[in-house]
Amino acid sequence: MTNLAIFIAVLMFLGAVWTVLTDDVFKAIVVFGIVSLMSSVMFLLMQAPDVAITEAAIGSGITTALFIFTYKKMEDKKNER
Amino acid sequence: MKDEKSLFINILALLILSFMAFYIYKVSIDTGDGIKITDNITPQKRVADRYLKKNVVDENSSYKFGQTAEDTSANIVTSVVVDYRLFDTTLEVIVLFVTILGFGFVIPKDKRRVLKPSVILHRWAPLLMILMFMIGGYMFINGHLSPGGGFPAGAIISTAILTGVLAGRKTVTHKTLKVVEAIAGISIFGIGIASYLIKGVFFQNFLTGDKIGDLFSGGLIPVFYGLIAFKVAAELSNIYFEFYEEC
Amino acid sequence: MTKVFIFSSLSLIFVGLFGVLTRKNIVKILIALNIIETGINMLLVAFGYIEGGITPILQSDLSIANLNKMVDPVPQALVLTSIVIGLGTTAFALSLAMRYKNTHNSVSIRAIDEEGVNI
Repeated sequence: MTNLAIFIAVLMFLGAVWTVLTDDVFKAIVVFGIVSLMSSVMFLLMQAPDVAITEAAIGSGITTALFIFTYKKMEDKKNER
Repeated sequence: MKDEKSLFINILALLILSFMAFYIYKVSIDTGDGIKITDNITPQKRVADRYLKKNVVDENSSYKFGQTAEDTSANIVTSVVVDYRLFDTTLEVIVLFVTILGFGFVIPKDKRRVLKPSVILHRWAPLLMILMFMIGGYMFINGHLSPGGGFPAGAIISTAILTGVLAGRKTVTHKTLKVVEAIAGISIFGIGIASYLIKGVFFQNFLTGDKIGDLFSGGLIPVFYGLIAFKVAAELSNIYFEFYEEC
Repeated sequence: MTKVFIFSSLSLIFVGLFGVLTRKNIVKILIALNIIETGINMLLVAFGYIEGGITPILQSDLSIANLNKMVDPVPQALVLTSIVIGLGTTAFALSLAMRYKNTHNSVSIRAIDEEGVNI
């Protein structure tokens, strides 16, 4: 169990660093969704299934959708001008 | 010139942040005489002990599985959220309402039209929506027995509505959402006032006498969770209708 | 286990703080703020973790006998509401970012005083 926790933690750290450092905003949004989903696995390992379900539904699903909608709307503006 | 300056600022920020992170980590794992944050030795002295033993009102009471108790919810997190700390939850729902209100005022008013979706999504969207509604309903009806609850149930129901919007299907109108949200918000405080009239304490559970572990146990907890789920679903669906036109 | 949880959440918090301090694109700053929020939620739940603890859900008489081994339910209840609030504030901040893009025709936070910065 500890090995799984360490593996997920390292993966999450690398994903967060990649999200912050990359220039492509769309890829950053998608990788942020993956980081959020991994944090839901960490909540499950912390024996908090309620928080894990809420994080998977809201933090990973709807927040990513909101960011993508905003990105699409900004892209529309760029094409107009 | 500009790139060199930005590289210098990045390295400076990295050094300062790693310095801060090292000391915060050192403090948070410390179990000596200093600040104790993760004190695993005496968890019985925390406030959660009273919630776990369900003896907040009467200090010497105990309970068994399948018997009645002070709070008959099998999921302790649910009993903290919806029974012992219900004021926190209701005010949090009001905060969510205020942020969505500000979102509706500030966002630019040029909505996107949904492009013509693929035939597969258009055909299969009703089936997906029915499955999502079923999972959401299961979450808030069973929230006092298994993991889940009102907030993820509302999120899943609003995701079903989002699927309908993206598939070009006619789902709910703006007016229906407002009516649902208003009725759910008023009902929460109406039940609170009713329990004040019956029991004498605001938000006290007046449907007592259930057994721990039954489906219909917990008294008012499934009612509150259902109202919270519909309020959260209506508020989150408002966000999508600000981005996309309804069909 | 507790050390792993605390270390991972602190690393998330400080990576997000680095992003907030050094990036210049508004959407990137909001993503970094969301990373900080995830890290802080993980840190709060990790403070309530007990080594070898079990889930705070009563399933039979056996779990009532093991009541002292359960993890702390109060931080979990607080984090449950905090995640939903985070979504609301994120939506509000994104609407402000869209308004900024409409006004200045750019997503850089330096667009007020100089043009052409896009990192």
